[in-house]
Amino acid sequence: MSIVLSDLKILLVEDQSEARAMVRNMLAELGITQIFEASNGREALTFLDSAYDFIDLLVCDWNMPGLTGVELLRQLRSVDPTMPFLMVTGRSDKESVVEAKSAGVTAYIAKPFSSKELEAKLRVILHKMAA
Amino acid sequence: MITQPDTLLLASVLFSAAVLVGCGFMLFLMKRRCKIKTYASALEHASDFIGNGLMFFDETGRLVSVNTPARGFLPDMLNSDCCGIDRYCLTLQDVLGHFYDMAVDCDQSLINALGRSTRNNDNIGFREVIMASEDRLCLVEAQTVEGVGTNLILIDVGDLRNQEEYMIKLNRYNYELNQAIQAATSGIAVTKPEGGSSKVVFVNKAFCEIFQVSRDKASGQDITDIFRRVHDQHVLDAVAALLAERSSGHAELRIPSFEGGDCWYDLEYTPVYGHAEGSDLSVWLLNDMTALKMREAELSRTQKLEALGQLAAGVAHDFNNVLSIIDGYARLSTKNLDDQKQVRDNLDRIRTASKRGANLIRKMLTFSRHEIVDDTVIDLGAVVREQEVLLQPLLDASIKFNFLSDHQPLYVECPEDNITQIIMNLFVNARDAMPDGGSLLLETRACPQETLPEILLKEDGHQAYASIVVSDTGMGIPDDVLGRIFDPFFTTKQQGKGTGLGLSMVYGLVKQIGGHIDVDSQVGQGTTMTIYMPITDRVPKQASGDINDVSSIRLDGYTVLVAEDEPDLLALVSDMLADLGMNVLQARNGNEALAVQDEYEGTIDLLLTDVVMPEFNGVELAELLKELRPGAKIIFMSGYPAKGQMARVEIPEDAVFITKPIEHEALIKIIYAKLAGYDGQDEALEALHTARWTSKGDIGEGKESVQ
Repeated sequence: MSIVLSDLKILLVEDQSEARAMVRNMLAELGITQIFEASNGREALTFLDSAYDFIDLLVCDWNMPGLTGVELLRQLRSVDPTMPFLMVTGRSDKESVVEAKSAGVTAYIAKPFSSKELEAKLRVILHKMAA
Repeated sequence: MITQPDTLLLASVLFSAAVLVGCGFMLFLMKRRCKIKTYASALEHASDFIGNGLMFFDETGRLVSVNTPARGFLPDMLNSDCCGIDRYCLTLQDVLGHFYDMAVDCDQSLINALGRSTRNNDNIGFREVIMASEDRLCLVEAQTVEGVGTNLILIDVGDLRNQEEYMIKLNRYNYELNQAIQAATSGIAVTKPEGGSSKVVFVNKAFCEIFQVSRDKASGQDITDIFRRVHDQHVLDAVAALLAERSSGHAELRIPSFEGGDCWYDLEYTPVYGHAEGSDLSVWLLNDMTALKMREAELSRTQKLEALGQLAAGVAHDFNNVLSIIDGYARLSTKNLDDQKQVRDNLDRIRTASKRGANLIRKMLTFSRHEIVDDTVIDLGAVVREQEVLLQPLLDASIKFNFLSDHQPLYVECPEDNITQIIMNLFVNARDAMPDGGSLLLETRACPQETLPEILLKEDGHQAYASIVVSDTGMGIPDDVLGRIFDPFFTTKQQGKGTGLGLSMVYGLVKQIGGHIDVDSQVGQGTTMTIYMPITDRVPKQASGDINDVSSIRLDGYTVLVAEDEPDLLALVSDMLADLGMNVLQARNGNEALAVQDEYEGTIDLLLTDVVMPEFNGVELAELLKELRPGAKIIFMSGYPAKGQMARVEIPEDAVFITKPIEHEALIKIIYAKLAGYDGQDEALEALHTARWTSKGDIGEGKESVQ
């Protein structure tokens, strides 16, 4: 089963509304129209609880108050080991990458990033989804 | 003939005999009675040893026998004093009346017995607990043996009462203990191993609150299931690790509070092994460490803020530069919105400045310490030689600068930028150490094995090292400062003059490539910093050969990513390029190409991609790759004629194409020209023309096939 980039259904989890709007615009630029949003980890979990089937992948910020991106990922992984997860973060140090990888992240994108970089990461995920 | 005196004599003899016989009989009777009395008394004595009180009443209800324990129970009644001369003057009725007064909880049987006891020979039978002397409890049992009398047995049941009291005490103790445990702010749970799981047998209120579970629900559950309620794998791992140990242990847990936020707990686990089988228990104690953690975090935040303050002073300047560039070009663009070209150029400049700002931030956040190592091979000597020109202007005339460098190549695996950063930092430090002038020496050289510091020899005695030496004749570093020079934010410079990050960065960079820093400093004499870097066997990227003689061309050390959906062609091209000494990465479509480059941590020098691929075409791929890896050169391969499917693809103007079928020679020449930087030069153009290549608008006809 292969999905086209513009058909992706994405849950965007980001606590800062400006940053959320920016990523939303980037996704829209890539032709993605089905974008769902959550402003924190708990909201995302609640969303997934009820609308799990609507989502192909999560784009999630690492640094959020309450439930962090990695914690959300861990909880997601405990019920679904395959749901693609793109971690958005300001950290590019090795420890953080290793931590995210061990938590089961599908791809990792460092802030600041352009829509091209975001597209590249989404395509990496598409490739992994098709594999 | 019997005489009077004789008769008298006879009579007196007979009388005497009769008296004697009578006396004898009396004596016999008396003896016998004495014996009986002795027996009875012996019996009474013997019954003393029974422990229970015994009283015997004859048929008439008169007390005939009582043993010592019975007297002990009823001292007031049975002491001879109260009964006058004869202790046996008591009757059954007196005694029962007394029992009636003393009964703890008189039942009908005693009342009945009391009624019947007034009539002789009536059968009385009852059981009653009475309060004996000194508040001892005594069970009285009565039995009537017809025609003989009535037995009363008094049994001390004080123990029962003690037992009862003990139970009451125990209950009270348990209650108090329970109250205390329930009131404790630490979460407490007790579990019992049961068939591989740990069943909860007790939890306190705090424990229930942490996990938002009721006590009833928790009881009997596996403790792991309760920990699972917080949805955190770390917590479960920690619990599993504790359970795997047979000894006590503890773990630090971060548990999301159900009210939001996180709480930190110290989990203490203590198995208690009982003597009997199945009596093993485990105690779980959760202590809230959140407040402590917060204080720690607060402290560390304060320290960080302090450090950040120092840092801010240092980088503010750089940052302001970036911001003024952005601001300036933004203003300029607003003014000249009509001049599209200028606006586009300005926006490009703004983007470049933003990137610089982002880099600044990245360096600040990570101290450049954790960045993934680039595996570029460079010639250390050559890189430092290039730096020399940049360094000279940093010094004023009072400092004499010497640069020494071996001309033999020193290959090390380290990105060029890192070398620049290392040298720049050491250089500026050396300069600042000589405010009144002096001499500064910069040197690169191969280190003879015997000159290496011990720490490196210990690691691997055969590894060869190159070194960068920066030596000054400045003030030197005092001993008390020497130990801290590599600490982040440590600086002896004035506020605003330095961030204290320089040497810390150098240290991080050197460690990253497996190197070592040696500091030799003497106050008043100067400082010599020596950076040791492992020499690698790998050669740096090198394009060699003559473009007109394809067989002479080598592209050792270069990395190429080949994206082609035709498997045979992919294999063929890959083999061809590997033959040139290139490191080849393969991908069967655009998405895979992006995934491959995402995983690959080294530099990618070239993307060789098919134009038309399903889902995601080569032009789009090239566009993304340019963004992700700006240094990569791009060459397209295509077999489609100009007006075919290609028409749908928007081809960049400066694109370099090679048409299919791929010609071995042409491909190599084009790649060589691209990588060796020939494109745009006359010589290269000529070379490229000889190859079968074309650019936009002149796409050669060709059928897709493999030659």
